Amino acid sequence: MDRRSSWLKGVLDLLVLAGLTEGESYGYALAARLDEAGFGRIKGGTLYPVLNRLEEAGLVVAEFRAAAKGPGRRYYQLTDRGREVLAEQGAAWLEFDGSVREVLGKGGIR
Amino acid sequence: MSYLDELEKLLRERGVAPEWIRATTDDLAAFMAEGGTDPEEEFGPVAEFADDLTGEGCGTGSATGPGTETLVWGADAFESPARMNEMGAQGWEVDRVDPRGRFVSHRGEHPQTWEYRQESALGSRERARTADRLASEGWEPCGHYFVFAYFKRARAALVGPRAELTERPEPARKRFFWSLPGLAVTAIALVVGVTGLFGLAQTLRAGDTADRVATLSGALAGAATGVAAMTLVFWLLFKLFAKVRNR
Repeated sequence: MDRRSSWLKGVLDLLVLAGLTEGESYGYALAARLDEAGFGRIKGGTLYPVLNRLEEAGLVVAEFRAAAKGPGRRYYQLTDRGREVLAEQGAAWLEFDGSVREVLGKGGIR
Repeated sequence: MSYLDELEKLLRERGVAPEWIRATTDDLAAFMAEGGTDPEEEFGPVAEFADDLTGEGCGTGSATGPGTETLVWGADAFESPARMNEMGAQGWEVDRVDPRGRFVSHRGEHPQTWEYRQESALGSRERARTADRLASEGWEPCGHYFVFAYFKRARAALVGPRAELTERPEPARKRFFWSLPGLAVTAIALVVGVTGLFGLAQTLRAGDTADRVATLSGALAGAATGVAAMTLVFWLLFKLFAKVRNR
């Protein structure tokens, strides 16, 4: 696994939670939004297990809606617990990021 | 067989609810339609994907942090205490019990051993009383299912740094563990259920409409009375047991 994939794996659940703060969304739209944000194309095989784990942990709720044309979709929505975890774990990530920046800065990387 | 048909079959074999399977495969079909991708390339080998979707895979990375392994497994009530302690000795910490009664566990980068116990506790008040009783010995709640409450304790609380594991044993491939008594109780319940339904079907076939209505009403009333009586007996037994234990 390259280093970037490894970083992403550690933070993907937070990115998905953050992607739901503005309202409900579905698998492909979440992957597309992460792609636009510069994380590259997140494969369904990576995204869906994360969505399932978040649902099992009660951080998101999913609702299946049949479509008039073509297959239906599962729409995901953030729960109150999901917001709490995002705030808590997001802050921990930013603190970690700050420490990394500080050390890299001292090493001349800016 | 297409990728999604194969996935549907594997999810069925893993005991996933049919409506969840339908919603998932429909959603994945929509994902592929929008992305125009090959399913194997998009979701990976189908058996691994089925494992990942049902939490039966040994994934890494979650809200608990990178490098952490996760494992979801189950056992019948007779087998649970021994299996939990076996998994605990391999460094698996149970975080919670999911709605299907499975133990959602993780093992961190530097795992340590855990001890577990299963207690019978009917309702949230009894669970809270049991938690209070056990707290002084270092036990903390880690989930509940049906009439059972589960507690965990880090071995480090008793033996200090010696509780840290130097090896990470691979967990067993099996994800559900049956005991002989568990299998026997399930088999007896199945035989009683099937025999009852068979007898009811025979009686319904023999009579006229009025007989059928009377038989069905009698069967429903009998089943409801039986369930209520058994619930009452178990409830009283649990209360009595709890009273003796908390004395």
